[in-house]
Amino acid sequence: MTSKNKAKFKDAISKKAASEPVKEIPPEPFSKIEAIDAPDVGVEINGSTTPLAEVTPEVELKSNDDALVIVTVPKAFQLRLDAHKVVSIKVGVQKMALNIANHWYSKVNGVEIFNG
Amino acid sequence: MKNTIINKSVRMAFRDNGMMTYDGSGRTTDSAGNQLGKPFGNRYTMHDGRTCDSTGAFLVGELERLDPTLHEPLAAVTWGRDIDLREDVTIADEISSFTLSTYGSQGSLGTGNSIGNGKAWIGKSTDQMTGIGLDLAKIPHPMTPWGMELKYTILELESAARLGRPIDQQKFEGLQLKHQMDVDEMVYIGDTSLGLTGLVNNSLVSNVSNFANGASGFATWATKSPDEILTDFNNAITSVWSASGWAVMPDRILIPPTQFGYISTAKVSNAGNVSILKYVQDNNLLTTSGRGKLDIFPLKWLIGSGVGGTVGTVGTVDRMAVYTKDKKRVRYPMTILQRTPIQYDSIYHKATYFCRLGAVEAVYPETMGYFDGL
Repeated sequence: MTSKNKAKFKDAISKKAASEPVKEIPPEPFSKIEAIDAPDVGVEINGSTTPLAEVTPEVELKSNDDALVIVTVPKAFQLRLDAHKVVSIKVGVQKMALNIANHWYSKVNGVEIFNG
Repeated sequence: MKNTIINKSVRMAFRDNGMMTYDGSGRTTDSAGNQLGKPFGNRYTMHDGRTCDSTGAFLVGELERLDPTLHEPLAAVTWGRDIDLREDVTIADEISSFTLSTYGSQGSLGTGNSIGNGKAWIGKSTDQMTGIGLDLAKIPHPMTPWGMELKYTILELESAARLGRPIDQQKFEGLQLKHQMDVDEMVYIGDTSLGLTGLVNNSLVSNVSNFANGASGFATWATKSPDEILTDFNNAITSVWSASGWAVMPDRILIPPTQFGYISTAKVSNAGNVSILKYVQDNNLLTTSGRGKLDIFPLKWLIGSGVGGTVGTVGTVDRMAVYTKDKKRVRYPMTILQRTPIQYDSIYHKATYFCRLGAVEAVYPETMGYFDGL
């Protein structure tokens, strides 16, 4: 089929589609859908028989506030957290939990998150 | 009957310039709100345009009652309430200092040093006796000379005597107020140019932290419940008490005036008729442990004196200061105000008032604590 014929064929199809009404396809009843069974815990997967529940995740999932960020602390200070626990922050470049780095008292004490 | 015709210049003089009238549109106060009085006119105006007024000579109308009471500028000082004076210093002293002793003692041989161990036990035939180690540190602070000259001319004195408003007395009261305000500032925040700190920003105090956020998510007292405010008070007391090795429980707390007003006014609950302040005074750690009354006072110098705040600026980081008012813990060295004999120099009478002002001596800085963000 040449490129000229292709264009004619496309035009014909588009005109036909525009003139014909849209057919509604009824949904398939649930009885016809086949359920897929999930593998049981302890079933051999890729040659391992270790129960899935006991697998230690390689990456510990944390909320965003607990994420560690690199900060610069210009001077040592004490920070009282919401549970009245006092944390001593030492001077220097260090890793710090994001919620501590973003605390208003950390900011007024000059704590800056490294954005390199 | 014909109306009397008065020359325009005479009418203007009668209305605005020459006579004492009540419809004058002339300036009676300057941009700072100072009362200028009635101007004498151009012939008497000095180079600065205000000298005649500043001498205190005013035109008084026949139906005007001038109150002869002297009204001084509004000013309040509180340093005498919050600190004890060290009185042994003299005008000859350039430094005020004190010593701080540290003891050290290890247990006898083999007893260890942990809690429950380390006693100085000896045996019947011991030939190795333990002893006491002593370190004496001297902590000096400068005693800076302070002085102001008081002077007035014979002409000023004569004018003031005629008016019945003593210029010498007023100038002296102004000088005394300036002295008191300078001492107040030295006691509470020290001096920036001399690098000295005071009672509420002492550089030796290491127990500095913020207040914990309340249930509202904020640390300010306006957003906290009475229980949370009481917790803040008790945490502050416990923190200082703990830092002193549980030896000294602080008995005085200073807070900014706004927060003091809030806890004095707000009730503990809708059902109760007790203010938060009263509730705190009855239920704080010092009182409940039977060690006396906790003094809570408002202090203007705490406005904005927290970390990141600007002193005196409302809406920045405010501070609570916790300490023990005891000359053995914290004190202020200064000498009394003295003056030279009056010097007669040309038409001037002069006298110089002088003293020495020291810096706040935090003998035991661990008995003090600062808490920011209330």
